[in-house]
Amino acid sequence: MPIRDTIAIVASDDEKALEVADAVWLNNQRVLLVAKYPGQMMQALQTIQDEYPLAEVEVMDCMKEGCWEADLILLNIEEEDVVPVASLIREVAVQKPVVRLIWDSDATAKMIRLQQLMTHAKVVVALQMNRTCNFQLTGDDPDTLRGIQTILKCKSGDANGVSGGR
Amino acid sequence: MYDLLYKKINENISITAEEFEFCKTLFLPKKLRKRQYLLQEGDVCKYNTFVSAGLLRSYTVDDKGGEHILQFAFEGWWLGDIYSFLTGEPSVYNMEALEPCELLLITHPSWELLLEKIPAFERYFRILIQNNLVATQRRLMGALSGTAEERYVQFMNNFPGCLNRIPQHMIASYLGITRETLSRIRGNLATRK
Repeated sequence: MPIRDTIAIVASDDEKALEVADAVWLNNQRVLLVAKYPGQMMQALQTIQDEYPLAEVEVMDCMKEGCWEADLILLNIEEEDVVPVASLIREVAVQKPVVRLIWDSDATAKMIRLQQLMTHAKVVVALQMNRTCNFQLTGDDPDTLRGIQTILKCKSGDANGVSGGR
Repeated sequence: MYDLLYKKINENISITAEEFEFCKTLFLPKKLRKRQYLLQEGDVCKYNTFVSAGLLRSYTVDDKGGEHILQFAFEGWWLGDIYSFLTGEPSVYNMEALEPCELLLITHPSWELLLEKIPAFERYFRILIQNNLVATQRRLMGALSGTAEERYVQFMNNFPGCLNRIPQHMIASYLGITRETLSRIRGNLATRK
């Protein structure tokens, strides 16, 4: 039986954490919801546990520790949080996939910026298209891009659009 | 995070600070909680692992559910299924954290890159493999011809100060003896002191 991957979800608030849970498959995974402030993520915890009964979900109040345990780091954060978050987790994200989910535009610019802040992480930006299930993935590492595709949700018949690199 | 790795590397080879900075970029930092698995039987061993902190065991499970411990890995030790790591074949081993662990993991491609860019690491890993071969031969000879007490004494000498960190039933499993025999041996040794 494969070991469960540990996925750290770093989100600005419960709503953003749930946006991530809506976008990826979390069943059979170990999920660490990383809270920015004490008491956060409890609503997200309950919702994700209800939606993914086979997942092992918990809240962690230390971002660095959560990302240190993680095999995959998913970010859904405000633009002003990118620099402080990257600074905090850069050391423990070396060689790890770090996926930033965005809903607006400029995926390439955002990917380049995050990659510059986290030089040795495997950064991918996943741009969700028009609130559908289609994602445009932008990143430099083909293996990481392929790996991320396997956990992204997709409506039946829709294919994820993947751009392999800048 | 990397202090012990640097110390252990410098025990065998000399590398520059710049080379070590490059080396650090190839290792994935990973924390495991007690009883979490690094590897399970049937998975491919994707990483060679350096233990910065904590304790793990590597073991197999036979058809009757019996566990057979190959190795314990403490701080400063390396752990991995070298056959699975090099070939991509499924591993027969399970690797479990016996304590909270801080690990540094390196993939096969990154390891090859390390050897290519810093050739001194060829010597480093050659020394590790030599030491492992010597230890394996000694353990094999102990299993073939040593008494249970001799094997226990050898174990104490090889892992000084670590006996309290390993459950007794796991020490017994590692030595290929029953818990009762282990208790008797420990009692005899304590009496003789």
